Amino acid sequence: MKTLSRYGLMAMTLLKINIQRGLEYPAHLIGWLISNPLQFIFGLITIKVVISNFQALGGWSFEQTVFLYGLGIISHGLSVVLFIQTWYMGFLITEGELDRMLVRPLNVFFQFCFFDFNFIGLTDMLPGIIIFTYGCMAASFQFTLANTLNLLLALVGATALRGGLYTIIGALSFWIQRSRQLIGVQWKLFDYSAKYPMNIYPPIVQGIFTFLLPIGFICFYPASQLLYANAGFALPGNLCLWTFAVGIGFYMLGMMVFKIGLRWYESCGS
Amino acid sequence: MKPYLYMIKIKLLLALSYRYEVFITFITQIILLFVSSFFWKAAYKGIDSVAMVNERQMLIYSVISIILGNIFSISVEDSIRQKVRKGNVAVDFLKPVNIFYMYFSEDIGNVVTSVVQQIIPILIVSSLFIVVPAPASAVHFILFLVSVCCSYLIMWLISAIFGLFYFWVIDIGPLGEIKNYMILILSGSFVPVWLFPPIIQKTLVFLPFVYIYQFPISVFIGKTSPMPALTGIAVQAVWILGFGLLFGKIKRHVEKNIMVQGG
Repeated sequence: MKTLSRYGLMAMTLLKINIQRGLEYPAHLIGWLISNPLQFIFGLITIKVVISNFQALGGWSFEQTVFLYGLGIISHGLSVVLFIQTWYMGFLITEGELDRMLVRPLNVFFQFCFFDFNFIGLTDMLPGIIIFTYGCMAASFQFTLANTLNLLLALVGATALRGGLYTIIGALSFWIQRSRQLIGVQWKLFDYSAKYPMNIYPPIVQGIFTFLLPIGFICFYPASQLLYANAGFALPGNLCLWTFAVGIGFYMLGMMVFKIGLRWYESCGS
Repeated sequence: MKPYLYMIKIKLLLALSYRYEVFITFITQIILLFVSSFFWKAAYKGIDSVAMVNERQMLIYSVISIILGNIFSISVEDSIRQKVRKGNVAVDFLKPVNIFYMYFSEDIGNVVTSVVQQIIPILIVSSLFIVVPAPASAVHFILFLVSVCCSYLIMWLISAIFGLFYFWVIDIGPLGEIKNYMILILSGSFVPVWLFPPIIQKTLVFLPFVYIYQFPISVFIGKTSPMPALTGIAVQAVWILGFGLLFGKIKRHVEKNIMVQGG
């Protein structure tokens, strides 16, 4: 209990420091506040232009696709706030920065998770909330108790799933030193899976993104259940609950890979 | 010339020394290739052509766009940012070479690396599984090559101008990101601008972005015929001249007021 409260206190202190750091450069914050929404506005324009010129993609209307996209951006924003440190784990390893965490009397994974609470990541969430709200209204999404609970489960699961995948890829740096490129692959895959319905891809690709690398659970399957839209595959049970379970499972897998990788850490730099 | 050729060679050797990175980059490009081709196939399902471009042409468009994306991976802005931050730029200025020619050589090294690591595999995989990215004709191909060189120069000069800002303010924050997003959407790198509403299309003609991706690719697939292509290349030349003059002016100012930090 004493250890738990010590870690709790430490987490709060680190969060406070990180928020203060984020507020230290207001111009920087404003810059991100302009830049981050811009990429999602452009994403929205792309969806609109494609659907207007061609047809509903995979049977999903523009309104449903906006709902899907908004849901994806919110979990992206949350993952950027909580898990950004995983993106530059290769740097921490090749520059020997991880050494500092190893000599402190604290759990290394805890330090890794809390040393960079990315306050600025909230600028990613803001456009997500706006786009999602528009998607909810346009697609006539009903905020019933069941739907709201399912939505929350899906968001927690999707954020944990993103975090878990980022942690696994970041931890690969223990073996291959530079895993930043793989994070880039993931961004692209997340972008394609969150912006467009996954049933536009052939069944084998959708199968890979469902059972092997389950990025379909980030927003496609939850959105398909919440909007009664075509999911391609008929998966059993509550898809939002599945998202939650898959997300937590992948996050725990990420923690495990990190711990195994840490045993391989040899330190470097001077 | 010799030191610059040496830098190109070093850049290539350096890139090839990270074998996992070579492999991962290859995988990334192949995934991107397949995903974008599935996307356009889904969009064209049951539709013959949109804006006088058929499915085959659109698939070639996306393949060539991915190839150009690799060619245009310009690092001058990032190099300057890092070197200004760490103060290493002082060492670069001590070298008996023009540092901007040096940065340009490094970027040409990146292009050579891209050809070996990414472009050749993309062409092979695309030809085998998606579409043979053949140009509309030999004339179109020659004009495409010329316009790609011009596009590269436009991109490089824009990046270098943004890089020069770091000499002034150390950190330009997300301004570079904004520039990248603008290029990404307004250049037609994924969705061609001819699919946008007419008013946006007409406005974008007066900006340099469409001349980076869309123009050379539309020449390649035959949507732009040779005569308008020549006019387009002339417009590209004007943009190069404009950005070149701006770059020269800022560079002269920056070189007189360099502040080196760190130690």
